[in-house]
Amino acid sequence: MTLLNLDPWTATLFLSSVLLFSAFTMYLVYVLLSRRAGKTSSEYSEPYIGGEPANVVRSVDISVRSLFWGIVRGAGRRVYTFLRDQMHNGVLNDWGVYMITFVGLLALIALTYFMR
Amino acid sequence: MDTLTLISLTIFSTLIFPGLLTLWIASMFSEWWVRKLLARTQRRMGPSYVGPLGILQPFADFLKLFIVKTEPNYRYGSVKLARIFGCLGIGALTTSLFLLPITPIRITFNFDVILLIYFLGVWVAVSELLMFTSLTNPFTIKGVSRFSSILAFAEPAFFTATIVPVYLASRVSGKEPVFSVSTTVENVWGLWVNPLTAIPMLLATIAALISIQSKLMFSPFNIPEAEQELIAGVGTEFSGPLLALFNFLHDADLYVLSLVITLVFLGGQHPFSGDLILGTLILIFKYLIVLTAITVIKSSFGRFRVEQGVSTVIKYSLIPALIALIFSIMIVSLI
Repeated sequence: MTLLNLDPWTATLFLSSVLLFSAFTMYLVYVLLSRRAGKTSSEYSEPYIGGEPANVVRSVDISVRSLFWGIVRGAGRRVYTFLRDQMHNGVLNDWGVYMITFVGLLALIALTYFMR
Repeated sequence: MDTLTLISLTIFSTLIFPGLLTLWIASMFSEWWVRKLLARTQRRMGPSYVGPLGILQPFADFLKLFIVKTEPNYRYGSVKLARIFGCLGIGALTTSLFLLPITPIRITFNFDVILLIYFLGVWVAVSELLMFTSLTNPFTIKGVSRFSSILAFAEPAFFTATIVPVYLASRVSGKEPVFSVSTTVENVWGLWVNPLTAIPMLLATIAALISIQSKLMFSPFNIPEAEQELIAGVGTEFSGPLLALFNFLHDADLYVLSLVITLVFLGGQHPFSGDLILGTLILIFKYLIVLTAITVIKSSFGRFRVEQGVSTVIKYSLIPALIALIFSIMIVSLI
């Protein structure tokens, strides 16, 4: 076994050239072996999307509005549930007061935000 | 040594042993071992048609994909790019073998473990990710996002775990070159005998095994492939020679990572380091134990969800590896 005690810079250069050489050889083997099977098909093959045409992916376009409401609902639901569980005692009048307070709070936040 | 001998030794090491040819044979054999063992644990036959006990089946599959099947022409992807990145990944795996003490020509210097991390971690992972994304498909993109989420924790975990024996062997033995793979392989067995250093070694070995499982997309971390759910995930668009290249890259990754565990954690040829035949036999025996452990984990679990996979890698691989590293630093300061 030959031990090469190199400095880090030379070792990196040496090993990088080994990487390129082995990758190039592998590429050559790949091309030579796969050529036996015939040339690459001249017809384009569509991506496999569960049997659907490729344009089905185009319709998956999330609008800015959907993103906004997704986040607001996701975060808002947790706040709403927390407040309801903490504050609401089951009496109908209280429920009305609670809802008005909650919506009022949201309106206040919205007003504060937009009036800046 | 004169330049001509150096060049011929380098070419021999790159192309024959332990380079591309040996890498191919060992990778195919490793695939057969995993497939056969997995099949037996599930009361199936496994590969059995080509060669005795089906040992030549992976070779036959590989050659069939290369020689018989044609390469499709993708409308929304680049076959050439996928080929280039696949070959670069295999090149990186071949190169990392030069840092292990099994090559006729061995590179060694202080802190050479960093180069092992660079070639085995960075190059292979990036090549795999770019190879997958070269052939675009919604399933592939989903698989790649899952794979990169897992890799973000599995790669640091694997290399933190690898640094533990390298650090301990270097500091406890006090031999040169420091933080070198060669020094580690020669002195790692002593770390298992010492009860103080055996604890971080055990933690690091478990962490490394789990991170290998996730890097290779083996159960329970087969989330990026997620057969049925994502069709074939990252490999949905691969067929013919490209599929053969993808399988080779995956098997070669399995071979090299298991070999790193065998050498860096289990001491390779020890206790027959001086004897070529016995040393090789014990190396193969230890390698098969590592491969069996990986297969047993693979056969024992069902597929995790993405967040389960990520949290498992963090809990059982990254954190134990970090604890092992902190333990090692404390032990070295005590010694």
